[in-house]
Amino acid sequence: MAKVRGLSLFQKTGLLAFCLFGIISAMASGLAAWTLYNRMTEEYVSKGSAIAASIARGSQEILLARDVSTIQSMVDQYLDIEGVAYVFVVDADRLVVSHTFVPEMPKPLVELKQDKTSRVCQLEVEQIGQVIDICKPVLAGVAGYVHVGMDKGVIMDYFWEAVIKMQTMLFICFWACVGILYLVTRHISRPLHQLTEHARRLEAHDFSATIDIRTNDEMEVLGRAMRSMGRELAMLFSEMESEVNKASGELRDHMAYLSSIIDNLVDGLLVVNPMGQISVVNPAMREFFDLGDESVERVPVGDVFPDEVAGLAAEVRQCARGVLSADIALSRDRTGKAVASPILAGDAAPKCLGGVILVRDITREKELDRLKTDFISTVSHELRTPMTSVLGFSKIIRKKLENSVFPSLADSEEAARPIAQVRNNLDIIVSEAERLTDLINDVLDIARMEAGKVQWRDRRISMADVIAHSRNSTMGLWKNNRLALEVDIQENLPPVFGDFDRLVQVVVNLISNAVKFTETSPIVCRARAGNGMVVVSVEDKGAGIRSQDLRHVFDKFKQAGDTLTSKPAGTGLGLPICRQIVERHGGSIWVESKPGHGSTFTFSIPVARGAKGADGGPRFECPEPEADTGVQLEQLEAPLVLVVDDDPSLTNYLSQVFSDQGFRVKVADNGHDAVVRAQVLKPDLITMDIMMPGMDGNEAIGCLRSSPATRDIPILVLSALTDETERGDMALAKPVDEESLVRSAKALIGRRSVKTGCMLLGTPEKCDLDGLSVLCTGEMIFAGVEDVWDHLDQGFLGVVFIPAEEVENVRLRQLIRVPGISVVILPVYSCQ
Amino acid sequence: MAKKILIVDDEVHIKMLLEQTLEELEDEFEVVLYTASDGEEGLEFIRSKRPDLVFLDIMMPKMNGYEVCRVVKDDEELVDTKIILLTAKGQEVDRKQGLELGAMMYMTKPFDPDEILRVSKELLDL
Repeated sequence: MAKVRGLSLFQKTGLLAFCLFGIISAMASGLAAWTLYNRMTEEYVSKGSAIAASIARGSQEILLARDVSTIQSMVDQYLDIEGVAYVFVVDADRLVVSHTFVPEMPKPLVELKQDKTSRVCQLEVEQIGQVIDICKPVLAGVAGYVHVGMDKGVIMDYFWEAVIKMQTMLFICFWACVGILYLVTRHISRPLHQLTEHARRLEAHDFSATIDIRTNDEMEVLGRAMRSMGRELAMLFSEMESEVNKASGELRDHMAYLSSIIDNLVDGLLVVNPMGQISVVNPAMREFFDLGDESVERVPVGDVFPDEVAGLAAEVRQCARGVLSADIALSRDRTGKAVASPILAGDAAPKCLGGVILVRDITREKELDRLKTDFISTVSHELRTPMTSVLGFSKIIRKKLENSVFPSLADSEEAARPIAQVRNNLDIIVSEAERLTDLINDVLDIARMEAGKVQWRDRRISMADVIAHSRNSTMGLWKNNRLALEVDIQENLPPVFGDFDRLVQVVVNLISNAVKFTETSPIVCRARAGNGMVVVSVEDKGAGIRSQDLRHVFDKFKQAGDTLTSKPAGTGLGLPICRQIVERHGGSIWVESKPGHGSTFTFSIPVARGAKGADGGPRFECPEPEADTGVQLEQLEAPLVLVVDDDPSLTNYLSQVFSDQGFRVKVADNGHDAVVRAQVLKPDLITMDIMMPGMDGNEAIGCLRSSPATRDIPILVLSALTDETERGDMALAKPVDEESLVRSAKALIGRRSVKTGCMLLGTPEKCDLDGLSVLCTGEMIFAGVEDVWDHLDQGFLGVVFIPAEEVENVRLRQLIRVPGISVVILPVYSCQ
Repeated sequence: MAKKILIVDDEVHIKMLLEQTLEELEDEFEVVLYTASDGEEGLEFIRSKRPDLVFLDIMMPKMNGYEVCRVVKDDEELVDTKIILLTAKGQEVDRKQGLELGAMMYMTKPFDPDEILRVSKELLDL
């Protein structure tokens, strides 16, 4: 129990009682004494009056007779009566006849006035003190006056005596009461004290305390209630404690379970907190990177792990949704695959707790993968060699027979039939050999796709172009079969991000399938946009596919129909390859068909990020070059670097590094600004972050590359993932190492001075040069068809423009194989 | 001045096939054919006969086509030799490697004899 500050309750009550009692007793004793005083004063007055009257009556004649001694003796008698202080008698002439004073009468008494009636007055007399003087006339003052002085001191003595006695008695009474009260309160407060003590011990969680009050009153009830409350509390507490112990035990077990799972993971696990420090690292991870037993908690990732891991960690703790992965070199020449994902807690507004990186040792898988690829390439090589002989020799035989043998037998009737058969048989051998070659190519293709060995050249492309290209490639096919191919493409089709050639492969495959199974009706190729997808379908009114076959059309080596009775047309790998390509682009492919009514093969490819289709999503248009902004470009020698990154700390660092190199630096913190600023500033180098809000790096690079003003500016991609090289000219992994950054920047700026040359087979007067400047940043050469090779021998590098009319006259096949040369065929009538 | 063509392949049949294909040129133009069965022999022939055109297989014993190509392109005297790589490997990596080494062309087996004829005529300016 807390100590009472100041006075205790008991003391306060005592003090209050004392004061009250004091006041009451003072008032009571005062009142009593006052009453006594008044009564005694009245008594004295009446007593004095009686004495004076008796003296007056008894002394009439005596006074008249002037018998002084008689009067004196009478007067002296009265002096014995209690309270009488003096008696004196005066005659009518105001002379004192007799008095009881010793030795003489005080002066003031002599001058007392006398009335004819009796009078009472109070006065102070020396040697006697306060007196009440009662004066009675004798014979109405004719014979004189009698004065009796009653001693007021006696009254005062009585008065004080009464006061003192009463006070004493009350004081004794008071302390007796206090004593009794104390005893009583102690009797009451002992259980109270016990109760408080008990409560205090309960408060201190001491449930062993007992309380035993037997006073047969409310206290006992309260005590019992307290006791049961204590027991209840003790029980609750012990229950709670056991629950807590149980829960914490379970938690401990669970934690131990989890940590042993983490410790026994075969994969390496690394958890980074949002500050980029290591929070968990498991033994497998330690083993992968030879960390030993050193403590690495709270250490920045970059201090312990190689840059690739640090880069992943830096990227993943930004908490952009999605999974990042990278191949990472492990200790002892092993290869690992790291998969990194952010840790997001909560559903509504996820809170980012950092990131987790899992590393798996894929050395063996890599090895197996390599073995598989080697096996396939070996097998395909071994198959190709005999195929070469079969196909080659069949063609040579056919040629030799046609050129030398058959003509000499042309006249022979008997030989005509065998000749026709031989010719037919050879055709079969050749076409079957070609089919076998296609099969080998397809097997290799699909195996490489499944093994992820295919290099994809992704860029922003238009599906309309893909379809137009596919239509041209298959023209021979459907024209030979006297079929029509109708193309129906929605206007404003949004671009997709993908590999042009591979998507053409898909559409070509679908068209050639449709041609295979169609007799007469036209084939329709449609393209639509919706729900963030571009959907392309190829529809035919041909034989259709039976429902039991529908499920298998995308399986390898499955062809619709009975392969035993109907002659298969194709390798059976076309559609599986299509599926691989489409799924790799993040789309899907499916078929709807009714036997006898034709089939529709449809595939969807996601719209390029930041593009908007006709369905009206958000779209990042490439910003147009701004009109004359009045910016006067500084014609300085120092190269200008445009740093594009949304992380201010990184832009500061990069600006610092480039400034130290003597470059001029400008900054943009998103893709849109980067494109706009690049068009105005014409920098010598752009460093580009990929993951940025709004228009991201890839889209910005696409825009920069599509604008003539910025297409030749070298772009250095800075990203945590090193597979972003596709789009920029060079890529560096974050965290960026200063030395390699400077080296790359200088290399790219240096490279820019090498301009792309252009050669046009024609004359400037005749040809329409509109738009060629897009490709030409260097000199423009006009050459005749015969001069091309001379220019090449002199070391020309760049683009050769050939008007369509001249294509026949140029050794095109040879030309396009020259390294560093690109060929652009100009439309007909470009040069008149 | 007769044009010299060298065929380097370890596969007898392929060699025969190429020979028979190119024999047509012999009828029409002044062309001499040589054959070699492995890379080393091929290189010797290139050094001694100075062919104008070499059909070079890649996968061969002793010395593969890439190595032959590299040696030829590093040799100032032989650098003008036109080389067509013949391979059963149709992979992009190989194609790139071959062309980087300075091969004129890269043909994947199985090849069409007519294609071989057309290319040869073109490269030999016949």
